[in-house]
Amino acid sequence: MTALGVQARGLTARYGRTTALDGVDLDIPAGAITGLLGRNGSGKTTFASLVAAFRRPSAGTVLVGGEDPWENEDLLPRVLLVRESGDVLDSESLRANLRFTEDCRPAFSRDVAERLLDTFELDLSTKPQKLSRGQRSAFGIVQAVAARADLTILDEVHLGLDAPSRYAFYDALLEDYVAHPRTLVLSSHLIGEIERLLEHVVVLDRGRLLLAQDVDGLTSRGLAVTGPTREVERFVVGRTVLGRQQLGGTAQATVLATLEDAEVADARAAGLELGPVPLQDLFVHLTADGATDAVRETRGTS
Amino acid sequence: MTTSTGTRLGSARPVRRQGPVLRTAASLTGWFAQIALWYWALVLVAVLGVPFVVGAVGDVSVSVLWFARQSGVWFPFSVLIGVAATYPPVHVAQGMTRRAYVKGALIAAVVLAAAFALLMAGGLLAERAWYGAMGWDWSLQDQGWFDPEITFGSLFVAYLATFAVSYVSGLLVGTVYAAAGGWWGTLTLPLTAGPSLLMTILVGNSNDWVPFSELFGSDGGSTPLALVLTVGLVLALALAAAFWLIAARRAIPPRRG
Repeated sequence: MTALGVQARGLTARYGRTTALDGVDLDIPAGAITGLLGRNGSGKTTFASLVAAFRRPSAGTVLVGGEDPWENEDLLPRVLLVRESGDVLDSESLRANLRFTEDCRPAFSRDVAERLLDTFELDLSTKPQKLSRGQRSAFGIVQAVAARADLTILDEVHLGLDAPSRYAFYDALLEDYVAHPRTLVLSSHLIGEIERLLEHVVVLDRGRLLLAQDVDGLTSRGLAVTGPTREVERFVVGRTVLGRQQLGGTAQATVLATLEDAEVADARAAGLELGPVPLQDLFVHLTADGATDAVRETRGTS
Repeated sequence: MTTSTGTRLGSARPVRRQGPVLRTAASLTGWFAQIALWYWALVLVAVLGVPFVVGAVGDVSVSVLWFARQSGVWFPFSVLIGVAATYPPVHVAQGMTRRAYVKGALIAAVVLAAAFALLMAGGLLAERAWYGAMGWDWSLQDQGWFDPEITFGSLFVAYLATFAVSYVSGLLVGTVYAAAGGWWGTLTLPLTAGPSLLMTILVGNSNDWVPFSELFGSDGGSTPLALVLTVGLVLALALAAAFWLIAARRAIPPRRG
């Protein structure tokens, strides 16, 4: 099993007059979990479709493991895109569908599939068209994790899943990833939930790349400050505030800032608690209208 | 949340590590065979039952299976439209190329055409023998080039040409609808489905209106078998080429609904 990285250069996709992706340059590192984030219509699904050869770019290139994935017979069995829309044989049972996946995917694990089927309480004799939205998502997850493809892309596969099932999915994915490292790309709007899994993050906005960065580097650009309201307000003066919350006399603010040791000491002396910046706050800030400067600030460039 | 229901995929079943073309052909043929079993069961009931019903009110003189040739053309044609419209997303999602799909689907279409031709031709001759044993007359209504003494080989070849064109045509129709949408799918029907109709007309022709038929040994009656075969071959190749060109390039958009 060799993890596959992704390299896009000038990647463009158009649907008639609509440009879904516009000259995107980005790298997704091999052997890491990358979050593919963006608002609705930002181009996430199109990007995933190009990487998995579901469609061809209108311009530019995309390479997977250094090779063009389009009609690449050797590469494609190692690349898996599971879409929320579900690409399954509706007229066949889940058993027949999984056997087909098993026949097609060289690294497929029957044990993992059976364990996850139990976890999500899926009946193998059922046909996909009889499943609820959440059960369809769960079945997509079973296929994705059990296939153990070197590059696995999960596009909004959590839709309709209840919270316990989503957390069971995250745990199963992480457990199998640790045992069998590969490249995972997670596209989701539930950033707060998947944040703990991510090592790298790509943010798309209106078909363009906003940023591609490792999560530690990104979250180190900001911090969450909690404490007495007056001290918090004093602390944030002159800094970019991503979000604020207040409860009674206590406030929390998320700011873009990298503190010197002396500043940390001063803040703590003033009764402030400093914590990591939530990725979701950064995302909301980055994808707000007119956020170009914020992106530059977040990247730490001028 | 986690319960143990002992879900098993079937440990006795070995994993099939076929190449993608053979896997596709085998899968499509296998899925189609499940539907075809129902089709042939219904045909068998009709072929065995109708003569007795007719015999109760009059004379049995016409082959029932001959009427089934139209369903042998259009039923698999319809199923293959559905296959071409719905299967490619699953195929690509499982990490196989469109090339493998096109090759596998064409192999499956030809295998199905051969199987249907074999059953239709064999069935027709078996029906003729059965009618003879029962003391009934056996003839074909609007028989075209079929004559009551025709051999199995000629029947098989004519059916194979007709079915192969129809089934590849079904794949093409479904592909155009899926790749280009309803308007183009409908507007191009004369080109995509027309060849199927042409083949059934050629086979059913008993008046020899077909151009150049004298070059193929026409005796002034029905379309010569050599001409049926030649036209069938040309149409099948043209349809297969069009299917290849469109299916091997089509994008796989997310499913709606």
